[in-house]
Amino acid sequence: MRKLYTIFLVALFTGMSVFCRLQDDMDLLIEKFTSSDWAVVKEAKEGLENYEALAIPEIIKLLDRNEIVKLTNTGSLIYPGAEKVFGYGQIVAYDIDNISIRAGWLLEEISFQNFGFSGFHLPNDELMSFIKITFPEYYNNANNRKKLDTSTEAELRNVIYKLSIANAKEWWTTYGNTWNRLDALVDALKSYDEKRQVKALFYMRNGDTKCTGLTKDYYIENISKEIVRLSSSDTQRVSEHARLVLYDNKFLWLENKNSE
Amino acid sequence: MKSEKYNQMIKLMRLGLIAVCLFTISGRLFGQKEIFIKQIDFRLDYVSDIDYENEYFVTLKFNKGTKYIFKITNHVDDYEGEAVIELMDADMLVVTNILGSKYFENVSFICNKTGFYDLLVKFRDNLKGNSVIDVVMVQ
Repeated sequence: MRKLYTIFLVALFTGMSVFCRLQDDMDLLIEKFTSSDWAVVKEAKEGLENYEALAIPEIIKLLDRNEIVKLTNTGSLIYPGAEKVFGYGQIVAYDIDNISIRAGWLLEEISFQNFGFSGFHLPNDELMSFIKITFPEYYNNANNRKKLDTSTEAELRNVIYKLSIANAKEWWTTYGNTWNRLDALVDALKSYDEKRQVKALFYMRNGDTKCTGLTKDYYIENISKEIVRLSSSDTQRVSEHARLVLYDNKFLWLENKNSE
Repeated sequence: MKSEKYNQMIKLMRLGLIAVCLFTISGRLFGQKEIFIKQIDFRLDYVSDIDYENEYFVTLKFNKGTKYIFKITNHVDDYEGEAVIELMDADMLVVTNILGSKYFENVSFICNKTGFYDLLVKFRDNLKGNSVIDVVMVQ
């Protein structure tokens, strides 16, 4: 009896210390991710992505932080807040000076979803069509339409901002309990949203963060048929990415991912 | 004395002439050759709300140490749009033909990593367009 009690206590303390270490690591990553130094943010983003589902509740909390933390040391980074564009460099199509949009960017990258965060910075003349395509339920409501038609540019941006956050939160409330990145990847490939398809295919070709369970065997059994389908898509960006994954018979795209 | 100076001048002129001839001949013999790789014809008759439908996207393989030139011909059949190209290595923009308000019809880049690069073509200011892009390799 005493022995059992000791084992129970050891297991409990080990579990608690693992949990505490994980929480400490996560807190540190979140702190870095919300900092102003681009190199630190980028590194923290990769760290959080590698935690997959475990990181998402922490990222969701950041969606409520509507504050500007202007990035520094951005070098040649091309993003909506860039003060100088050199004609080369990494492109991030999100207004990542804003912490909640930065969190949205990371959420979309982990989940291969299209919540709408990339629309916030678009030019004025593209805002309405973005709302129409990304938030059809909202757009097709007659009352909302009336409001949209008389909205200023700032109000349209605010609509995109609020709907993106609402979308992300609702998604996590609905699917959070059972969500995993591997299923999310397959869902995105099967979806009819080209942005999601491209995100998933881009990750397959270029991503180096973890997607637990994404192995050669899993790919052959569960993903390859989707890739074949997408390789004949009418959208060139989709079909080209898919074809390149398909032609890579040495599975070089899997090498960087460490997803066993 | 005078004729000596004259002879020297003639000598110098001859040497100059020989140098010019050699320079011209070597230029012809060892000059850079352009090798045509691909021609992209991109015509956009309808501007869609879905941005991926307004672009041309192709993946090309480029080799390390080689210089490539993109030559753009716009306004084919009087279409208004001017083609903007973006050459991407994953999410890194490697080269583009637009920088602020400056637009270039020819751009070149020296590849420093062998691999697949995505070439994106769009029309400036969301206009319809009809353009031809020649991709050549310089040797």
